[in-house]
Parts: sequence; C-alpha cells; structure tokens
Amino acid sequence: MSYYTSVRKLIAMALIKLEHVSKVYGFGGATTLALDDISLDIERGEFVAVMGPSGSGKSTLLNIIGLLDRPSQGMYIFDSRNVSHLHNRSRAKARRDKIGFVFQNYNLLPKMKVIENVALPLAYRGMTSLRRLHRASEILNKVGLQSREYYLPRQLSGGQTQRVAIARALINRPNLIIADEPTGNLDTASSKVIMELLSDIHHGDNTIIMVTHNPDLTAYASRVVYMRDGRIHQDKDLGIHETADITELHNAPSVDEVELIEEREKVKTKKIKAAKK
Amino acid sequence: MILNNIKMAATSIREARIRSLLTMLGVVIGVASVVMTVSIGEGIKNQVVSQIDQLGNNVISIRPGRAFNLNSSGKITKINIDSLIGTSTLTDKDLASVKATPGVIDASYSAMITGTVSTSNIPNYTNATVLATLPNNNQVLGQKIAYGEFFNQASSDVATTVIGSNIANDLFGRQDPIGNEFSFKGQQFVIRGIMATTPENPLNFGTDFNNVIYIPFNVGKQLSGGNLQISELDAKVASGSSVTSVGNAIHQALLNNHNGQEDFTIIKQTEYLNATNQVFNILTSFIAAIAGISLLVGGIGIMNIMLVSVSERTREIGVRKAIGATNQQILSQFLIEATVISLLGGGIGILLSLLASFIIRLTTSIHPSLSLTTIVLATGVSTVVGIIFGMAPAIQAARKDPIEALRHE
Repeated sequence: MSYYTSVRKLIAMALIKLEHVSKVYGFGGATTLALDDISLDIERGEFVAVMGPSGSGKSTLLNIIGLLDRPSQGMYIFDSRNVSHLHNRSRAKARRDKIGFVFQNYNLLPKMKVIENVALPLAYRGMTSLRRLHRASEILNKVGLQSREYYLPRQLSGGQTQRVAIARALINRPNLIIADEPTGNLDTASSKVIMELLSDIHHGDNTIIMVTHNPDLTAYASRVVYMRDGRIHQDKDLGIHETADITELHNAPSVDEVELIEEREKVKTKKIKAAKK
Repeated sequence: MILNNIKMAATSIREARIRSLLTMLGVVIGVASVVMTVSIGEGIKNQVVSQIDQLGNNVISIRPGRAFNLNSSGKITKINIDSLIGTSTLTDKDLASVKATPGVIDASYSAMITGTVSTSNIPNYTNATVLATLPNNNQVLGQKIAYGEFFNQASSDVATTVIGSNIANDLFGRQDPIGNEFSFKGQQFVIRGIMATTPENPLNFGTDFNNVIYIPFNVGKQLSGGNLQISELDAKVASGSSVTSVGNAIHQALLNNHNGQEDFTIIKQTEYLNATNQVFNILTSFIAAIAGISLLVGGIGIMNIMLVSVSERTREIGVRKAIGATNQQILSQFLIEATVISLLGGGIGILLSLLASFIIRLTTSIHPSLSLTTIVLATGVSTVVGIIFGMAPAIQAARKDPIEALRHE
C-alpha cells in the first residue's frame, strides 16, 4: 500500500467505527445484554440523532462511544485508533482532547464561576490559568454569554446554563460532541435556542451525536439511528429539515430483518437462475 | 495543576467554612499541644541548664551525704532522699584539703540557716534562703554583684549582708537597699551589696540565687548557737585543669579525711548538666508522645470528613472525569485538599501555641522556647498527617466509575 493510498484510507475512515459491539452488565445468571452486536459507522461532520424507547441501550451506546465505558465484545475504532481496550488513563485523555459532553442536567460544578466551568477541561491539559480563562471567554462569547462570565451556574436560566455546558464541551475543540438529551430539561423556546446553537456547531464542521426523545429535534440532524432492545432497529439519513417519524421507525422491520429479506431474495434468485438453467 | 488544585482546595474549604474549621480542629489541638509541650519542656530545660551553667563549668560542688549513686558511665542509678536530711559531715578540715588539692584555685563553703527575715515594713518574710558563707564565696561561684560589694575578710564577723535581686525588690521596693537593714534571728544586718539577677528556674531545681541572702559564716554560726552545718562546699578549678581529674583528687582527699567513708557527694556541673538534659529530654518526648495521640485523632477526623466530602461530591467527580480528568488527577485533587486542611490546622496550631507560650511567659516564671526546628517539624508532621489520612478518601474518589458518578444525585 503506497503512502498516498494509506493517507487516503485514513481520511476516508469513519470517525467512529463500531464492529459487532456488545455490552453485558452484571455477573452470572443476572446479566443484561445492553448492547447486542452493534455495528455502526459515523462519518466526520454528521449530526446523528439517536432515538429509541428507554432501556433500548441508547445511553450505553453513548457511554461507549464517549469512552466512558468499554465494550464487552467487539471493536471500537475512534479517530483511526482502536480504543476498545484502552486503559482508564488513556481513555480520560482521549475524552479530554477529543470529546465534548453535553448533559441533560447540565452538570456544571455549582461552586465554580461560569468561566471557570468552561475552562475546566483545559486545566486537565495543564494549560495556564490565564490562557484557559482567555479561551473560555472567547467560547462564551460565541455562545452569547460573555456578559455572564462571572456568574455562578445557579444564577442562570436553564437555557443559559445549557449554553455554558455547550461552551465547556467546545473548549477543547473536540472531534466529537456527545449530547445526551440536551433539551430534556428545557422549555420549547430555550430548546430551540440550544438546537440552533448545536446546528451552528454542526455546520462549523463538527460531528455531533445526540440522544433525544423529541422527534421534532431530528429536523436538525442529518441522520437518525433508532434503537430497540439493544440493537440498531433503524438507521436512516435525513434530508434538510426532515424529521423522523417515530412510529414508522418503531414499526418498520429492523435493519437486520431487511438484510435477512435481501439475503433470502438473493438465495431465491440464485435458485431461480439455477432452475432456469 | 498542583497550584490549581491548591486553589480549588482553598475554594472548597472556604465554601464549607464551619465544617473545614471543625475538621481542622483536631489537627489544631494536636499540633498546638505537641508544640506547647515541646516548647515548655525546652524552655524549662534551657532555664535549668542556664542556671546550672551560670555557676560555670569549672565549679565542683561537694555536698554532705551520698545524694545519688552513679554507675560506671556516670549515669544516676539511684537517688538517696535520706542523704538530704542527714547531719552534715563536711568540716573546715575538708575545706583545707580541697583548697590544697592541685588544680583548685579557691574553695568556699556555705550553710543554710532556716528562719524568717523582718524589716520595719515587712515583718515575716519567708521567701529568702539564708546562706552563711565565706567572703570568697562569690568569687568561687563566679557570681556577679550588681550594686555594692560582697563582705570581705575584715567584715566577716560583722553583721553585714549581700542579698539577691528578688529579695531587694520584695523587701525594699523602690528604696535603695544598700545601707538599709533587716533583722534575722534577732540580729540586725546591714546590706552591703545586691547580687546581679540570675536566670530564673521555674522548678526550683537547686537554689534560686535571686532569693538568697548571704551573711558571713561566723555571724551565722553565732546565731545558730555555735553549731552550723556546712551544706555545700564549692571549689573553683583552674582553667587549665581537668574538672574530672581534679574532682577525683578531691574525692580521694575527702575519703582520707573521712576514714574511707564516702559520706559526701561530688557534683561536677557537667554531670549535673548531662543528667538534667537527659531527664528533660525523656520527660518532654514522653509528654509530646501523649499529646501526639490527639494529632492521630485529628488525622482520623480529616479522613472522616474527606470520606463524607468524596461521597457528597460524587457527581462532581463524575463530571470531572467525563471532561477528561484522569484518576490520578482526581486523587491529587482530594489529597491536596486534605493536606491543605491539615497544614492550615497545623499553622493555626502553631499560632495558638505561640499565643499560649506568650501568655505562659507573662503569667508564670516558665519561659517556653519555640525553636524553628519545632515549627518545621510540626508543619512537616501536619503535612504527613494530611497525606496519610487523605489517602484513603482520595483513592476512593479516584476509583469512582464515571458513569455511576454522573448518575449519582
């Protein structure tokens, strides 16, 4: 393989590549299969909405993709690197440098000022305080909260707090942003602001994975992954402003079933061809 | 990052002010009590040593009776209380023998007379130790006269006296004592001189020379009905001679005088110093060790509160891990917090003991001595306490699973 082709291959490689990933919780007889043999590719620049009923394995999938958890089986390649069996330390560093988290309940540290919260990920990189705060201030400006820098999180509204959390997720210029129901605690107006912000971030060539229960929010996404019983039930690209129909997704035959049907068709045609001969 | 952690620790201590203060309290009390004990012990030792020292290392004292038994290496093996109340066996002949010993420049003796002193203002003053002695006594002991002079050979039969500085203060206050009089056992004494102030000794270990009244030996003898027992015989050794060998020579001479009976004790200042140092070091370290137990309790207090803090801040730990803190970074955060609390406690403890030392110095005659070594040691110990007792909670924090921690309410 020439250098050129190997570079091409690297560029072409998906940001996230899950191959036959399973996750089992518990020991002995009391095990639960949270993820059941999932294979999934997510390219750079995608905005993936992950949907599905509770207990379908959305959070587990996100935890594995976000390097908070390890798969029990299968391979996970993140940013061209096999991260399936990384040590805690390396996973922490990968989270620090490559992933930004946005949580439903914001998860800002209540005793720290807004700007300190935003700057915190850089502290774990060993950046000096002055540079950290400078960067944090820039990012807060981007999310429109520069005037609130020295507030405490509890002095902000829900929407503002979530914007601070997004600023914190953005500060280390991550390859991937993981948002776990970012608008779950917000009213419609604030939700819209947050989704517009995430959409802007997406258009700034960022990859976003978002878990949501609200089908309307899929309008901002470029792809929807619907999960059921620890498997990917449906995986569908969405057009601009297209929303996913949740009932349709839920009731549609699973991807695997489709594959199975296709497989049967192939066998059938083979048989027919053979018969014709 | 360490600076950052210290800052964060300071913030979280400030946030929970009362709790942090209570957490620190154990260490504060522990450090303060250890430092206090050590500084009081050191202080008393210094005072005793300086009192012994002021007599000079070249003075050999001979006391009647066998005060203590020494083993071959010069350590005290037994103290004979009886010897203190026995009849004195020292005589003028002994004085002559001591004076004749090679290496002895001069020798003198003194006798203690019990009784009270009266002036026209103060009828029954009991704080004085009246010593009847020879005119050369102050030269033998190297004592300085602040005002006036010591009685001399010519006045050795006259009722003159030299008094210690405390006596001068107590009896005469702002008056000039020289030329003034007091009566002792019906005899009027004219004050000729006042001794220079000597270092105080809080334990009254030996004689406090500030409370001494010296009267001529002959006068004392008359007052005691012609029979005065010598309570101490002092010899000044020439600076070129070895105190030990001169001491041995005196020992031999006195044994001859006493027909081979060792009914006297030879005290060399160096031995006395060693013994005193030894006793005080043991005493101080023993009490400090007991006080150290409170430090242990303080450490356990820190551990307890840190464990509570870790469990309360589980979610925070989860968030920090999610955004990229490694286990080691979480560990050092909590370890530094515990250490900062402990160090602060230690600092407050040291300040408290300084304050207490000051009060003790003002109100008692003890002069606690807080050395830099003690302060450095106390600081070091409180750091170590923080690290040791902060370790378990910090490990617990570092080991938390980020997913579980994030779910924690």
